[in-house]
This record gives sequence, structure tokens and C-alpha cells, in this order.
Amino acid sequence: MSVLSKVLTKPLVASPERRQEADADSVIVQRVQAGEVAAFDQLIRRYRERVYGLIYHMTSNREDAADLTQDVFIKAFQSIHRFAGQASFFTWLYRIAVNSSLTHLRRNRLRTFFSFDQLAAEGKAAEVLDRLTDAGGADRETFAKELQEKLNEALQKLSIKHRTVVTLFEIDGLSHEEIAEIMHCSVGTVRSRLHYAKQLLQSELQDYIRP
Amino acid sequence: MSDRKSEKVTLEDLLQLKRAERPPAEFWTRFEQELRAKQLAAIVEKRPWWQGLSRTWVRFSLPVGAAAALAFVLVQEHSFAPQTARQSQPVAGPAVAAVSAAPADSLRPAVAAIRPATTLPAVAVTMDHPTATTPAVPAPAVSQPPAALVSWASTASPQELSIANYLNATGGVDPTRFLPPTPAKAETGAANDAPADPLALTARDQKLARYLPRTDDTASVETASAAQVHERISRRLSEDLLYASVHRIGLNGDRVTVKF
Repeated sequence: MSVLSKVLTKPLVASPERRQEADADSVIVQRVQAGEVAAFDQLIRRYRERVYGLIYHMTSNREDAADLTQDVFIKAFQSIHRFAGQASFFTWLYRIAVNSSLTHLRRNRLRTFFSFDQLAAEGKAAEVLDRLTDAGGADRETFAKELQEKLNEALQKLSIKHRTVVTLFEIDGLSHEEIAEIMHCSVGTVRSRLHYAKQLLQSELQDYIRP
Repeated sequence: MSDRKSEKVTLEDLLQLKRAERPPAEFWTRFEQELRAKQLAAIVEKRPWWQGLSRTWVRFSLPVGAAAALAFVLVQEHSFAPQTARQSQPVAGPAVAAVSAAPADSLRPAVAAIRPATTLPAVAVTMDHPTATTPAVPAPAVSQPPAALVSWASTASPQELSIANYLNATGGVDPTRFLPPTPAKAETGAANDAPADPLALTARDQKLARYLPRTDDTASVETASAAQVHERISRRLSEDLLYASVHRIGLNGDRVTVKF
């Protein structure tokens, strides 16, 4: 067996938290499949922010992201009887979200309107902003907005597939294997797409980035 | 920008900022309300007909396909079964069946012996009622067979009897049509009473004949007419080409013009 095929057939190693989460999800999914429709609300509440975040970062439009997130949950609800549990519910839901986003972006390739959510400058984000601006500067908020726009513009310049990989890896924190499973491609493809996308982003954002 | 920038960061740090973009809290209240409405709408909304069709097709495609293939094979088998096989089916009355099965020489006297009493009425019965093959069932009041039929039956070979009987059983046609022409009729040459080809009589055979390759004279006549038409068309085309070529080239002063 070659090294490549070993890598491709390697089973996904999920973190203990993710495994625990997947177990809890499968119990809820079984309840929904048994007819307890209200249990689906738990799944919505658990994943709505992450699904919304994924779609928002891919579309850079909060109205579209809200609509698509709702559609994703409706699709998941309508097809949950077909969910066989081969992948985790999270992966399955993300796959629906990614496919819906890709379809939406392809349909509206020529129509791009940006509408951003507010940048909540707290935690790590506040730290980054502090390093880029004077901590007590009056123009900090203006700079944050400018930086947000630059970031989104740079992301939108990427192709849909590269943007998806960057979003899933850098922003949502998924592993290469999980991304490969969601996007139906090999881990090597995910890595190469990520590398290429980062190169493009660095050239776009070179004013802010340490060489 | 350089005046306010104290320190540069990595790309990963910048992308961390994207995580901080979050909708306000009230957004989720509205989100849930809209999701409920969409869920209800999805339940009430009628699905497009092709979705149900595709699901039904997936479920029944295999058995329907198998049944269709089986039906096709059966129809093919039934339609194109050899003619001789059908001729040999025992559709005739007992007397005729015995005649057709027996050697000609040995049966001719036997047929002649029983002709007035049994054979001919039996033939007549099978003509009117092809399924009435049981001799135990009394025949309904049957009119006497025509004299021409009686005379022909005495001289006909067993094969002729069998063919006539088969055609009667399948087509229900007048048996006298198969009789050879009487000398008087042959002389007058009456077209209506001319002996017909028994094989071309049934409608089914006529339908089948359409799909068979033609080997008769009509095919050669058609070929000749087609050749004439072809020749006429080619002549016409060559004339047109000549006419067009003449008109394309023209002299205009010291120039020769060619139209395309």
C-alpha cells in the first residue's frame, strides 16, 4: 500500500470533545428519527451559530447567510430520516451548509453585496487590534472597520473552493481530515488549496502582515 | 496607516478577527421565528411532482423493467412464431385432422367413403365455430356445404385440406374462396371470383408482409421509377448549376466579375 493511499484511507481521528459531541448528537438524531420532532430544536440551537458563521464567512453577506442557514436546517430536518450515521451529524450538517453556500455563490456569482456583522473586539480579536493600533487611540474603531472590509475583500477574491477551505480551517478550526470529508476531496487537496489560498491572502493583506 | 500601526501581525491573527464578527443577540430571536415559519411552510408546501416521480421510479424501476422485458419477449415470440407451427395446431374438426395427419394415398378412399355423412359437415362446423372440436357436441343446424366445396374436397390433397382448414379457423373466411376456379369462371375471367393466394388473406399476414423484404415484381418496378426520378433530379441539378455558373461570371468593361 502506497503512502498516499495510507493517508487517504486513514480513519478520522476525532478529538474527545468532538467524539462526545457526536455521541450526544446521534442520540438526539435517533429521537428525531423516531418521531420526536421537537428534539431537532436542540440540534438547531447547538449548531446555528457555527453554520451561520460558516455561511457568513463564505458569502460576506449577513442577510444571505441568515436565509441560507435557515434553509440548511430545513433541509437537514427534511432529510434526517436518510441520515444513516456513517459520518457525524456535525459533518453531515456542515456538508449541507457548504453545498448550499456553493450553490448560492455559483448562482449569484455576478451579484455580490457585502453586509458585515459587527466586529466584537474582545479576546483574541482585541489583542490583534491592540497590536495593530494604539490601544487608546480614538480611531481604533475606524481602523477595525477598515481592516474588516479589507479582510472580507481579500477573502472574496479567492475562488469558492479556496475560500471554503480557508473558512473551514482558519476560522472554524476544522482539521484537514474533516474538511476533506466535508468537501469530498483528499487531504492532500485540502492542504494544497490551503497553501495557495494563504499565499494569495498574504499578498492581498501585506500592509498588515509581518513578513 | 503607518502612523497608527505599532506592530504587524500574522495572517492567522488577522483571520482570527473574522471569528469576532458576530450578529447581535436579537438576530437569533428573529432567526428562530423565521425558521419556524419556514419549517411550517415546508410541511404545508406541496412537493414538485417530479420529486415523487423520481422516488417512485427508483423504487419500481427494476420490477417494471423486468416485466417490460418479459412482455417484449413474449410478444416477439408470439408475433414471429413460424407459420408451420401454427398450421399444425389441431384447430380442425376430427375428420379433417385425421385426414391431414394421414398419408394421402391411404386416406383418399376413406375421405371419399365418409364424405357425405361426417367429413364435410365437420369442416363446415369448424368454419363457423373454430373451437368446436369435440365430436360429442352436436353440431347446430348447418346448411349443406356448397357443391363446389364437395367436389373440390374429393380431389384435394391432404395438404390443401389442411391449409383451407387453417385459414378458415384463423380468418373465418368463406371456404369457397380457396377453391380452384371452375372452367366456366376461368373462361370469363371474373376478377372477383379469381382464386386468392391463401397465404395473403389474413390481415395479420398482410401486416407482417410489410416488414418483409420485397422480392416480387413491384419492387423492381419501384426501383425503376426511383431510378427515373433520380435521373430527372440529377439532370435538373446539372442544368441549374450550368445556369448559375453562366450567370455568376460577367464582363463589366475591362473586368471579369464572379459572383459567389
